Amino acid sequence: MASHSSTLFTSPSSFILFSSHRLKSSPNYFTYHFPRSVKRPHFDLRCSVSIEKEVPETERPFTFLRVSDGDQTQSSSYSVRARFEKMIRTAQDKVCEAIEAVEEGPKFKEDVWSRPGGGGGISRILQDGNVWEKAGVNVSVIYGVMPPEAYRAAKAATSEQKPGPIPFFAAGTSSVLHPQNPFAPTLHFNYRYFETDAPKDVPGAPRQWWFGGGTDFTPAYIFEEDVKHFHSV
Amino acid sequence: MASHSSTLLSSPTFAPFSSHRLHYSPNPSTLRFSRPIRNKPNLALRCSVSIEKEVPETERPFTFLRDSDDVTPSSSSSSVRARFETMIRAAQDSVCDAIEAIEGGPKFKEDVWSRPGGGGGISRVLQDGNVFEKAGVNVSVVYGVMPPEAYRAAKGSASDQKPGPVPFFAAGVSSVLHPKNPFAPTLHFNYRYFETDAPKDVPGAPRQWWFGGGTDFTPAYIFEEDVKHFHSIQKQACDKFDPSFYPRFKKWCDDYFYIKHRDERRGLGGIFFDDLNDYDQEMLLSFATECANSVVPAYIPIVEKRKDMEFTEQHKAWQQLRRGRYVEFNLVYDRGTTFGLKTGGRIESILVSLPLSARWEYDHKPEEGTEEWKLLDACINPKEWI
Repeated sequence: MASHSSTLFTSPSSFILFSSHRLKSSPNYFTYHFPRSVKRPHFDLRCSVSIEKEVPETERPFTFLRVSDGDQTQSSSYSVRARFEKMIRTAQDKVCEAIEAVEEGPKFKEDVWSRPGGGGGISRILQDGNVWEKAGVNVSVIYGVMPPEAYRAAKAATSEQKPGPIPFFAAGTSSVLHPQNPFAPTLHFNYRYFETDAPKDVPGAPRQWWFGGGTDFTPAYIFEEDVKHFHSV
Repeated sequence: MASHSSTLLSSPTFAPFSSHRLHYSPNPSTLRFSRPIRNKPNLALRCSVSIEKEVPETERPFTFLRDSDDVTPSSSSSSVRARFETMIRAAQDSVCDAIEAIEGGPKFKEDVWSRPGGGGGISRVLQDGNVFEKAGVNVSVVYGVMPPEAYRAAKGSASDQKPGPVPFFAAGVSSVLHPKNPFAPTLHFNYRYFETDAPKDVPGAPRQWWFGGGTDFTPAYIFEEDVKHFHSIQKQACDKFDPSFYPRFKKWCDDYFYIKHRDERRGLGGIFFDDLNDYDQEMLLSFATECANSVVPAYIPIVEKRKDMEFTEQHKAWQQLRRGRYVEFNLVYDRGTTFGLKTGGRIESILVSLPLSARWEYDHKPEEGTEEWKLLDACINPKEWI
C-alpha cells in the first residue's frame, strides 16, 4: 500500500492552527467576560481550506464530534473518529495531570472552543511555572471542506479524483513542554488522524484515512542514560 | 517609467554576502584566523546567483571595488559605485562612533572580508554593552553574475532582455540597534545600490540601476515626542528632494513591516523605498546619502534621553514580547533575511538583526488604556505622527 504523504495537516503542531480563538479561563465562571473580538488574518494556504469561525465555550463538551458521528460509548461498533477523539482527550488529561503533579501548585490555563457545524478543541497552557517555563497541550477536532487541489496536495495522489469539494475530518493532540532547568529536556509530541468523506456528488465513494504523529526529545545537555531511556520507551 | 520590482537583491540587508567571521584584535600581531567554516549549503534558488567565496582580511582596504571601478576620490568623474561605497563606509563609521560614544567603554567587534574577484565588506557587532544589548552595522560590496531569469526576476521586467549571464554590482549598509533599556527604541536602517553591467556578448547595452533603503523605529513604549522627533528627521531628509517622498515612503514602510499573521506592524514605521530609478541618478545618490546621514541625529538623542530611565521587570517583559514580534517579522517576512538564508549567506551576519533574547507568552493581551496597549494599538493602526 502506498504511504500517504499529506503535506497539509502533516505538520507536527498543525492543529494549533485551528484552535486560534483566545479565551481566558476564570476560576469563577460568573466573573467571566469574553475578550474583545480579535481581528483574524485570512487563511493564506496555497489551497484554501474552508473552516468555520470558532466560538468560545465555558465548559468542556463530552465530545466535539457531530451528532452523526455519534458517541455511542456502549456500542462495539463505535467509530474510529469517536475512539480517536476519546484517546486524545485522555492523553491531554494524563499529560496535564502529570505536569501539574511535578509543578506542585501552578495549574494549566484552559481555553475551550467549538464550531457551530461541529468540531472544536481545548488548549491548555502552563506558563512561568516552578518547573516549566512553558507547557502547552492542545487537542482539536476539525470538520471542513477542501477543494480537490488541496486534497491532491494533502494526499499527493494522482489526479484520478473526481472534481468537487471534499469534506474532511481531522483530529489530533499536540504538545510542547519546555522546562526551566537547562538540564531538563524539551519534549514535543503529536498524534493525529485524518479522514475524508465521500464528496456529495459521489455518494458511496470510498473514504480515505491516515494517521500521523511522533514524539521527539530536545535536551540542551546530554545525559546518556536519559536519552537511552527516552528512545527505549 | 515602470518601477522595478526586484525581489532578488532588493532586500533591506546585504548581510548574506559577508559570511566569513573574523575576530578583531586590538593588537594585529596577536590576531589569529578562525577555523575554516564547513561547506556552505548549495544555493537553492530558482535561479542561481554566482558569487565567489570570501576571504578574511586583517585590515580594512581603502575600497572593496575592483580596480576598474576605483577612481580617486578627488576625481570629478568618480563613479556612482565608488561614491556610494564611500558613503556607506562613512555611514558605518559615524554610526559606530556615535554608538561607542554612548557606550562609554565597550567597542564594536569587527570582521573584514573580501573576494578575489572584487567586493567584500565589514561587519561590526557590539553585544552586551552598557547601553546596547546588541548593535550591528554591516557594509558589503558584491560583484556577481546572474542568469537572465534571475535578472528578470530581480527586475520584474518583460523578457525583452538578451539571453546571456548578467553581471551585477550591489552595495549597501545595513544595521539593527537593540538597546537594553525598554524605554529606548530599536532602530533599523539600510541603504543600498544595485547596478547591472552589459552582458559580455552585448557590449554597450545600457546599464540598469536602482536604489533601495529605509530607516524604521521600533519602541516598546511610546514617547510621543520621540516618535515625532524621529519622523520629523525622516521628513526633513525627504523634503529636501521631493515633497511626495515622505508620505509615499512612510506608507511603504508601514506596509512592508506588516506582520500578517498578527495583523500588526513590527514597529512605528519610518521610511522605506525600493527599486527607485525613476529620478535622476545623482539626485537619488544624494537622497540616499542624506537619509544615511540622518540616522544619527534621528536616533542618538532619543537613546541618550532614555538609556538611564528606571524600569521594572514588567517593562522588561513587555520589551521582550515586542522583540518576539521583531523576530517573527524578520524570520517569516523580511526579504533580506529569507533571501540570505536561501542563498547560503553568512548566517551570523544575517541573524545579527535578531535580539539576544525575546519572549512568547501565550495569549498575552495588554489591558486597554495601558502604555503597553497604546503601543500595540499604534502597531495595529499606523498613525501619522507629524
